[in-house]
Amino acid sequence: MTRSIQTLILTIITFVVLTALAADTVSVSVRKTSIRTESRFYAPAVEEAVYKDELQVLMTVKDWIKVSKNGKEGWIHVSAVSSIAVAASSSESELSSEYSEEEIALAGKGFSEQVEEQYRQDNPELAFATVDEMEKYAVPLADVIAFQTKGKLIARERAP
Amino acid sequence: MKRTGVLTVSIILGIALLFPSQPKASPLYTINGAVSLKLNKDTFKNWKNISGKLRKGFSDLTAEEEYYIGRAVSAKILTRYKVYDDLERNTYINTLGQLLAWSSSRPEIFGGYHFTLIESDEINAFAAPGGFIFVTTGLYRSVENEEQLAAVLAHEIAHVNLQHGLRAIKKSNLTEAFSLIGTEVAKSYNKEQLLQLTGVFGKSVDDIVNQLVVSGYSRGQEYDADEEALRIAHGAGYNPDGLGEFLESLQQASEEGQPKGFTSTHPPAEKRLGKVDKFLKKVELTGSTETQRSSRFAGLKL
Repeated sequence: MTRSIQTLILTIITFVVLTALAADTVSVSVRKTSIRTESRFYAPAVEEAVYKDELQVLMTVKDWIKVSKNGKEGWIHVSAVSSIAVAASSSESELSSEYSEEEIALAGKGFSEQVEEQYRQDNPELAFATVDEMEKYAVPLADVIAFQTKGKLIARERAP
Repeated sequence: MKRTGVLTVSIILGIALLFPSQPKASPLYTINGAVSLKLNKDTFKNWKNISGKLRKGFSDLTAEEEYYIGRAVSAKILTRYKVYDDLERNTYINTLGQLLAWSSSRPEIFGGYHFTLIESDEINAFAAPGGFIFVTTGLYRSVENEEQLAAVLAHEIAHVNLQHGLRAIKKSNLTEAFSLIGTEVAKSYNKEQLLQLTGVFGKSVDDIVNQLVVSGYSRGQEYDADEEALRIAHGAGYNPDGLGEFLESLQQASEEGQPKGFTSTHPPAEKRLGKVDKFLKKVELTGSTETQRSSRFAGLKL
């Protein structure tokens, strides 16, 4: 067996091993969110999760992923996470591990807080302070649930 | 000899991982030539793909970048409009908006959804990328019940979900930004790089503000946002007829020559109504308007 073939095989095996080891982890892609007792937003939180937290994947049901963090298990919506490594099979090749590793590498880069700071210095007339105020409108979960109940609102399956 | 030993161990390890003797019992795993998670394309349908090393289009922007772009767009919009200082009504639209966002295709975004009333007689609403949504007091006054207000907020959430704001960034600005950002991992930029990147950030923000405030989205984008709004409002439990009712009152207001806004940046209400009716019939969405909601709104009417 030539050296180049050996190297090739070793490379393939290393790739498979690394992919398999990383295959059941997701990374939180939002600033903060909750891991919940059930697969719905109005379920109580089991644990909080913040940007770039890595969570162990246990199972998925529709748009929800059951994860584990610090030994606590619960549900997180798929829009709150990026996949760290989803092994590429023929039908799922668009989800190669590279995408999200790239996203993680880009965290804090590009149009980031650092760029905003410079932009604010260059444009002091802009109303960033008001945007900060706007972001403070965060309605507690209990208030949204009370609003839903009082309004006799029952969540329905998403229409096609 | 040593190399062969390493190779043998590697092959055994590789095979063991490829074909685990005790596949995990969870429904996540399939043995399909490689161990794979059943987190398929559909699962991540709303998740941005950063394909390969080269970022090309608006969809390659990360959620974090979308958020910072949205903050700057909002900071510009808020130099043109004053926030309507009314904690009760702002809390109301934020609570309603949050509930609607849960039924949307992107319920969780980097910084969450935030809504605010802005002072203007125009009947208008704007959605900046990253979930910053502005509703004029003129619009708030023109809606007749909670179903209609839900329809309007759902329409704006739909623009965020569908990333219509980011699509307004000129290709040349995106290309310039991506080439400046590069792909190597660096903790921060030097001053020159930072100034260049901030320049192109500003140009991208202006592209979006211009589209939001001046030219408006394309008709196709507005129709898509209407369709998605129907799904969102219906999913949250609202009567999907709220959108049609609001468009009818908009049509009436426009005929009476009332202050414009929506009419300059949106397609004619009549055309939107036709499309909305067609969609509702096609997917057979129905619902009822509960009095509890109507009376709640009546108490908060402007």
